[in-house]
Amino acid sequence: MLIWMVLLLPIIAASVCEFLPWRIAGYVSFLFGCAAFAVASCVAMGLLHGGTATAIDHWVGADPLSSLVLMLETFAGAIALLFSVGMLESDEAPDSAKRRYFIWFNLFLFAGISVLLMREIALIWLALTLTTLFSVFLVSFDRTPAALEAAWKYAMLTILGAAIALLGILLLYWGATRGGAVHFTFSAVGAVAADAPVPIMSLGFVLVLIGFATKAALVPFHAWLPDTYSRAPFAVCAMLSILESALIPYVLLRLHFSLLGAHGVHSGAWLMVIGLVSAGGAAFLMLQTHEYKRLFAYSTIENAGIILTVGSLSAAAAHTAAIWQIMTHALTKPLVFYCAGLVFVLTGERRIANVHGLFSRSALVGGLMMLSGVAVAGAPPFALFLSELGILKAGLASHHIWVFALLGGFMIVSFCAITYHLFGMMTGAPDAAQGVPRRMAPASLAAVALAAVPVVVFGGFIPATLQQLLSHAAAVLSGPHP
Amino acid sequence: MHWMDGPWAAEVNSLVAGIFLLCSFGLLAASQAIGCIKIYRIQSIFLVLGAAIMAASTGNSNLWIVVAIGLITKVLLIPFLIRRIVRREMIARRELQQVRSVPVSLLIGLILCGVGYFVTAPLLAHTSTFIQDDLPIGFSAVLIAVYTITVRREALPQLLSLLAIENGAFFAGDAIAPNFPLIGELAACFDVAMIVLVLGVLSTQIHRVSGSTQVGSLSELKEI
Repeated sequence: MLIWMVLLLPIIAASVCEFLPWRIAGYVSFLFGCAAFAVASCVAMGLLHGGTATAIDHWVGADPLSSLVLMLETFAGAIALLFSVGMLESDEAPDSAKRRYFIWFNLFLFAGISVLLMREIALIWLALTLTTLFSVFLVSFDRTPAALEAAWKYAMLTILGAAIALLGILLLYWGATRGGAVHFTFSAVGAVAADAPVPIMSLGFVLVLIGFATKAALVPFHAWLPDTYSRAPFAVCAMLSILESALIPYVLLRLHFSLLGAHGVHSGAWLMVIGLVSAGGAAFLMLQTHEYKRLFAYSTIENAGIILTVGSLSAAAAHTAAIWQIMTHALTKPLVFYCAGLVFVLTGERRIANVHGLFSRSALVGGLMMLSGVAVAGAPPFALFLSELGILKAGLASHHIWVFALLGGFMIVSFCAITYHLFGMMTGAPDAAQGVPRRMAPASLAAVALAAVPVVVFGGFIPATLQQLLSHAAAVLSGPHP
Repeated sequence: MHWMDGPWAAEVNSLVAGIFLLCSFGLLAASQAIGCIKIYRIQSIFLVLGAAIMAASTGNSNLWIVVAIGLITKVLLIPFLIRRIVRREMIARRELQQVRSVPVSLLIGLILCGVGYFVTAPLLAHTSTFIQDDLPIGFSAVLIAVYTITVRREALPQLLSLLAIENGAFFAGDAIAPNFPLIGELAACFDVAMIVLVLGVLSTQIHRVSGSTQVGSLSELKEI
């Protein structure tokens, strides 16, 4: 029942928006988003001791891992909607376009939630494809040639990835049925993986990996990423980040663990390679980028790479660390994009080099940008610091010292890149040509404040219930047949 | 015994598979937008025909529904949607530009075909003749369509190549996974229709703003 409610709330919100003025539509969507988060939390509370919640057997349901990510997705979605209301205040788009923005945003949220609540792998694939289709018009919201170009590249490449993944999923289905599977869920594939023909499962997994890596913009499939993030509205960037660093790693890791029984597929090695290449490639791309939105976009890819690398290892401590990283990053990254949104409202500039003296222009915006920037770079006392520490601790206890040495190195490079670029934006004399600073919309500031709460709180301590959910979520991966 | 049992079902299927692959080359080489739409439609017809032959030969009722779904969406609905949404200027009679010359592209397509056969060869042991024909050809069609996207500069041929990837995947899929959950099949068709709607509207917007659909020449957004 609760599961159906989470799925239905964004759909209802999208249909209600059609009949409301855009501002009210935005606030109503925000309330629906909060309701979805509350229901998702109830689902998660019911799974604190493990087990599963089922809506339709083998088709729709949740377990501790998916309910944890579901909470992150709905929380981020609700706040992104609130932030959007604030950002659209100063936008010149016609009211009908703003209303449509909220309709698409709710549908985008629905697709993301479906990824987590579907059990059938074919339906997970469909939900992931829908996340692209529902977000195309969010990316092109500005309707400028540049925004349309970004949306076209985004749609083309991510749908291309999804189509390649489709062939992989058909192959996996073929392999699983030859192994004797009746249903096509992760657990059903896991149960028959040992009997499934290895060449079929290998090719299937590699195709799914390439397809979803394109969808998640993992290096070297990241061609669409910089342009899309550069032009998409800030709240959309925040949700795309969650998609890339939480939802897709969630799907890939579950697939990997369901194929563990198939000796010879080497899915872990594939994930580790693509994870390391992404973490390293993105860290160095961060050094040379010229726009602050792209800087944080690459940081998302770096984190997705870290999560995949750590999650692909066989130690249980590594699984906990990976899921913890998914959580802290999904909480921190939206906050950074919201603060970057405030910087954009203040200066009207996208390029790092054109932003100077943020502190002296507005201590509030400058301070928020700096604090959220170092939070996402992994500095104490914020949530991401603790989870990155957890990753390195898991590394010291494992046999893969060189992997963690590389990851540690990449984390340092990205930390340097973010602080270096931010320092340039904070210092210096403000540009007189940038005019009078615009007033910050209260809705945006409220969204920033709400998003900052978990980042600060979870940097200090993790509540016992959350800890319990985390450990059960990790057990979903580590268990014999997840 | 089914009414279409026997070796000749496999042979007709081989012929269908051959024409299906030929259509992939057609999409790669076609010089006019209207031609691309026609070739996509022919390819979809042969996709459905392949599924129908398999359904008749194996008596799999699931496949007959797949045939019906494919006929309604891919052969009828999608070409109709494309002509409705996409502006007339975009389908008008004119030469389409390609990044590489057509003969070079065809040669690369041929090489990709070889790659397709090479990659799928280890999977074909102990399988039916349908799979031995359809899996390599479906896989090759996917590779050729991916390559076609990279050489096309205009929105419409890129969109059609995207749909051709889906066709290739399902040409292989109908053979290897005839019992694939119908809801998955329906979902994929819904997805294809959504792709056409979204990308069709987007390309129309691009056309309105920039006066052409040369998406290949969109290069305002670059690092640096």
